[in-house]
Amino acid sequence: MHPSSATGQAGTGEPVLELRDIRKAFGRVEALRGVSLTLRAGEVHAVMGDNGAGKSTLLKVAAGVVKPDGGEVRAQGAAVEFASPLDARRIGIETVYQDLALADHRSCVANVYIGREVRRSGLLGHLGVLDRAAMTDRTSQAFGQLAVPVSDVERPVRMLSGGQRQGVAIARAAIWAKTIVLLDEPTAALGVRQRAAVDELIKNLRSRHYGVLLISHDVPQVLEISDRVTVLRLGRNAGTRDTSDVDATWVVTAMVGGHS
Amino acid sequence: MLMEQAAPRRLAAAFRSAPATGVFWILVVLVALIAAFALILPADTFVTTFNAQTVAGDASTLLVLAAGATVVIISGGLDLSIGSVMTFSAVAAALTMKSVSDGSSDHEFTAALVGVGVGVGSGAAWGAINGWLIAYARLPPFVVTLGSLGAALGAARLLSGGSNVSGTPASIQEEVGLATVFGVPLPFVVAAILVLACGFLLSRTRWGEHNYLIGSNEEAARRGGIAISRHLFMLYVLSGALAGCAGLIEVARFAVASVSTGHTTELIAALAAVVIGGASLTGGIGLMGASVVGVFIPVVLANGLLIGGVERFWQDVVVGIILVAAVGFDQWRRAREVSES
Repeated sequence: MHPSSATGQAGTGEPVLELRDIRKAFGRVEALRGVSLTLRAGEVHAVMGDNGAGKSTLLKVAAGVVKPDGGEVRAQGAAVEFASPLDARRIGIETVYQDLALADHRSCVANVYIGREVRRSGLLGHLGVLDRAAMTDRTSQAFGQLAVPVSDVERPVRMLSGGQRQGVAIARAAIWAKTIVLLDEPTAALGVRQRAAVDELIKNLRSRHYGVLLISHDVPQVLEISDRVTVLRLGRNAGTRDTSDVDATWVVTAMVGGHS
Repeated sequence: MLMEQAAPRRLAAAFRSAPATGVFWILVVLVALIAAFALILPADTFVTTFNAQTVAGDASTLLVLAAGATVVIISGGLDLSIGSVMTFSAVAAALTMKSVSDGSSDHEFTAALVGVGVGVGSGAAWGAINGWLIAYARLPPFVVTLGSLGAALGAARLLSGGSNVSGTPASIQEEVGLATVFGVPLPFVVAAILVLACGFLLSRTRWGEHNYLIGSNEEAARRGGIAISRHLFMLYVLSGALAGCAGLIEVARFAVASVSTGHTTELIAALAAVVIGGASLTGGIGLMGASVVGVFIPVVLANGLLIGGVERFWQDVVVGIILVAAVGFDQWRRAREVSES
C-alpha cells in the first residue's frame, strides 16, 4: 500500500491530539522544555530523537502516565488533564509500550479483551459469565480487517512470533482506541520480515483514519511509513517536516543539532 | 449432512490432540495405577463398591483443598496455610457444635448449622488476614501464608487446649459424614459441588479470567484496568473459606477435630495434586479438572498400599516421585510445543 493512497495528502486530517508547550522535569533533569506537536487523523506522525531527547516522556504525557509540569494537552479540540492512564484510555487514546503487556499463557482473544471482557446477557452475565464466542468472533473480525498476521486468535500468545505478538498488541490498541494510537518503538526488537508485517499494520491504522504517534529510532522505517516527522533534541523541538520533503541526512542532522 | 460429518471429525481431532494435553497423561498414570492395584491386590479388596466409597470419602477433603489451591496457584500465588486453617476451622466448628447442642439432641440441627457458619467463617477470616497482607500490604504470599500456617495451628491448639476435640453431636456423623446419596458418600457429593463451582468460576467467569491474567502477567492485568488488590484479597478469602469447608468435612466424617498434625500431609498432597495436574507455580497455567485427577493419584495410592499391607509411608515416597516426574515431563512437553511452532 502506498502511504498517500488511503487518505490523500499527508497530514491533512483534523487534529486529534495537540501537545502545546509541554514541560516536564524529573528533579533537576529537564526532560521536556516546551515541546509542541499536533497529531492529525489519518497520519503516522513519527517522533525521533537521540537517547534523552524526551520522546519517551512526551509519549507518556500523551498516554496519561506522566503529568506535565506545564503546557496543554488537547484531544479532539478540548483541553484534557489525565490523572491516570485510564483517563487517557477513556477518551480513546491507546498506547503500545515496548514490553507489549501481553499475558503470555492466554489467547489473543483474552489479551485483546484484558480488563474489558464481554459478559453474556441476562442472569448469567450478572453472575460474571463470559461471552467467549462473541469475543472470539469480534477479535477474528478485527484481526482480519487490520491484517494482523495471526490466523488462530485462540492460540496462546506465547506460541506466537515476535512480529505476531507486536501485531496483537497493536491490534488491541486499535480496537479500543477511538482515534489515537501511541506506539513506543514497535519494531525495535524485530527481524526484517517481521518488521515489514508490523509496518503494514501501522499503515493499515492510518488508512482507517487513526492518528498514530510513532516513537522510533529507526530512520529508514520512519522515512518509509510516516507522513510527518518531528525531531526532538534535548527536550526541545528540532523541527517538524512532511516526511516526503526530507531524507535521512536531514533527520540525523536535526537529531544531533546541526540545523540550528 | 454437514453436521453429521463434522461431529465425528471433531471427535477424531479431539482424540488426536488429547495426548498433547497434560491432563491426558496424568489420567493415563491414574488409570494405570488403578489397573495395577486391581490386578495385584486380592479379588474383592480393591475393586469393590465399599472400597470405591472409601476412596471417594478420603478424597473429599483433599478435593476441596486442591480446588482452592488450584485457583491460588493459577494467580501466581501460594497458600501454605490451608492445612492449619482447616485444623482451626474444624476445632472452632467442633467446639461450637458441642456448646450449642450442649449434650442434648434437641438442638443438634441448630448446632450443625451454627457450626457450619463458624467453620466457613473462621476459614474466610484467616483468608482475609492472608489476603489483606498479600493484596494491600504487598507482602509475598509465601511469607504471609508460612506465617499464618504457624499462627492458625497455634491458635487451634490454644482453642482446644492442645488436645483433639471430640463429642460433636453423633447425628452429624451419622446423617452427614457417613451418609450416602445413591451410594455416593455425602462428603464427596459436597466436595464435588464445591469443586464444580470453583471450576465454573475459573473457566467461565470474568473473575476466573482475571485470575489467569494476573497469574500470567500482573503488569498487563494492571494496565488493562483489572483491580488486582481487590481480586487477590477475594482470592485468599475464597481459599480460606474452602479450607474451612474441608475442616467441616473432617468433623462430619470422623466426629473429631484433630490438632495433632495440622494437616500438613493434606497441604502437601493438595499442592502436589495441583502441580501434578499441570498447574505452573509461576502462575497463568492450570485446570480444575486436571487438579481433580491429580488428587486421586495420592488417594488411590494410599488406598492400594494400605490394602496391600505396604507401609503407609511409601505413599509419600511414591507421590514425591510422581510429582517430580510429572513436572519434568510437563516442562519437556511445553519446550517441545514451543520449538515446534
